[in-house]
Amino acid sequence: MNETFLNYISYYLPNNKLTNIDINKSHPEWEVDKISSKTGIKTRHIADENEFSSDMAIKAAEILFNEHSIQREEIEFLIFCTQSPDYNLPTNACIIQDKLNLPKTTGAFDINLGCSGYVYGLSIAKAFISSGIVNNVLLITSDTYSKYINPKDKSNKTIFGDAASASFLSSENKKGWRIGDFVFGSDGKGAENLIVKNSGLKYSSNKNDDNIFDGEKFIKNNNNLFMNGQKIFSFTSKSVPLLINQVLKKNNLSESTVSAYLFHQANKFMLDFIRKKIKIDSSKFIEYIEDVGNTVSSTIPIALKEEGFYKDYQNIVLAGFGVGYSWGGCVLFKN
Amino acid sequence: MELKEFNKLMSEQFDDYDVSKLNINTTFRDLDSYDSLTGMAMIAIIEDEFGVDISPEEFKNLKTVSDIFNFIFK
Repeated sequence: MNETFLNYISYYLPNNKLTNIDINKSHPEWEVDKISSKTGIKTRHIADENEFSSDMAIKAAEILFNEHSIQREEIEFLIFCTQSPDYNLPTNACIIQDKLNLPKTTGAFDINLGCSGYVYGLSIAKAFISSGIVNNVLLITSDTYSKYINPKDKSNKTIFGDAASASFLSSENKKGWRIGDFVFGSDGKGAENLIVKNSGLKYSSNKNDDNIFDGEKFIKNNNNLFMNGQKIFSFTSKSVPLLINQVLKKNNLSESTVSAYLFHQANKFMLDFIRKKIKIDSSKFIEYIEDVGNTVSSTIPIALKEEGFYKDYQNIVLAGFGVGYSWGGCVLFKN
Repeated sequence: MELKEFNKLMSEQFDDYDVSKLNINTTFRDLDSYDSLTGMAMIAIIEDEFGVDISPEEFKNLKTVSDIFNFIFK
């Protein structure tokens, strides 16, 4: 079996920004300082009205090719992870293959996962490479949750930002990270707690679907993103400690031999809560959310590029968890 | 678990300034560092550490740490 290496990561952030001052202007009851101290977020990037997840995916990949001198002719497989696709069909990865001028011999498909998506993407890439089916994989994550968020929904507006990432994996180690073993989990009982209900064929988008309020407080609109924060918090608090325990066991690591942990960057409050619960020292805990917000499947690659990839760690434990519910973890090793 | 130990567990969710004012009979919702996120964390502790399900409505009716303690161990 071939080893698989995560060699390069690049990412793209849209130009438009949404700051805490902007949020405070439309929701004066939310103080600027409190938003940043609680969520850890100061700025989110928001895709332009005419900029979609495939556009951002292409930009992230172009940055990757330029930054790391990757020849597009060498790409053998493209995995595109999104929950805000341009189309339900065709597979958006085919459109991206064409626009990136990747060879017609490139295999390509989409995966529909959110906060766990990057870890799942790595696992698929590893499966393809280690089995010898292909020698390399381009893994792209891209989401524009902002387009799902109701203008009155200050909670989701505050948390989510748009972004895309591109990662290059191959059987050859180019001073990258060897990908270790994976642990997965799913629980569809939580589906309704993070959902855009009118997003498929079962419940198609209804122009008359009105906003639902509890007094003054916006609760939901079935055409938009809905998140039951309490349920998501409880799910995370319960499932992530177990996940980490399993990931360490499967990779023969112990608490003391882990160099760093990188979890899906949901928001600072939740991350700190889980970190304390698992008793992880803050010096081993990577956080990178202030200038980007929760970018769904792109939080791990962005934080990895900024705070992990080029640091002097021997290993990094990754964990993604959220919408589905879906969760997954793995370890990256320096050697 | 004793009430004193339980109060310590709950007080970890508040900032230092408020912890000095928090005792088992303080109305914790009136503290500056309390907000809906603090509530989420407290509910997560009640459900996780003590295996007791609590609805947001039931939680709203609990005013003090002592109320929460009694809810769990009643």
